[in-house]
Amino acid sequence: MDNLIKMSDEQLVRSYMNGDNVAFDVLLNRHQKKLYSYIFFSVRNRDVAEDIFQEAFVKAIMTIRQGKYTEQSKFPAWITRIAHNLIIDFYRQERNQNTISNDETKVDIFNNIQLSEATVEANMVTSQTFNDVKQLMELLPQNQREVVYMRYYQNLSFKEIAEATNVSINTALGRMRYALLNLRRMARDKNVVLTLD
Amino acid sequence: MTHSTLSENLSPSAKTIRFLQLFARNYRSVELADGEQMSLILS
Repeated sequence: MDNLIKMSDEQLVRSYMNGDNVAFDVLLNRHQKKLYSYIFFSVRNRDVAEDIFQEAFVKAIMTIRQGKYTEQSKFPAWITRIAHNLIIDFYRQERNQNTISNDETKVDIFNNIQLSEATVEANMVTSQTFNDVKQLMELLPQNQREVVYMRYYQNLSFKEIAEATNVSINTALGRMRYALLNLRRMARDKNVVLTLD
Repeated sequence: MTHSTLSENLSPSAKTIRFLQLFARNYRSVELADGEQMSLILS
């Protein structure tokens, strides 16, 4: 057991593939909270989150057991991508996406220095600010909320986020920028201070 | 509106975890002679 706990995710997947069931338990235990939190934060319903979480891991188990796990990316990014696709299916079924998406908006906001990632990111990682941000995040469109979540709470790279959400890196970056823009606007509207300067 | 608490990682239920542990132990995939794969859940 101690050996398993020290193993990397990829080593655990291989061990499980080779029949070591405890390796799966370790993998599940290692990632359950972050994955479930991500799903819950996306769908905001415990029962739905529970179903999606279960289905994501069932798909992962089947893929691994069928010897089809050939991922080059990290396990957390892979399982997050599975969950993301299930969340998208959920929203399609519910037709519950009544928030505004900015993906098609042509306004060029990218030259605004105040929106540069370094500036906003540096401000957002401050714990005081984080508490306010996470409440404002609830108000973001789903596709923007999940990018912010994956980046700041799951520490996924933009490449991993792009893979997990089946979009290009530019789209993932664009969603982040719009998310940050919206967060700033909402913070202003609600008199929340996002910067500590 | 209720806000989720992101800083506390939420957890799935014990029932779900137990189900997944059992499923992981009992799921098998068998390749048939024609190359197709068949899934089995052992009891």
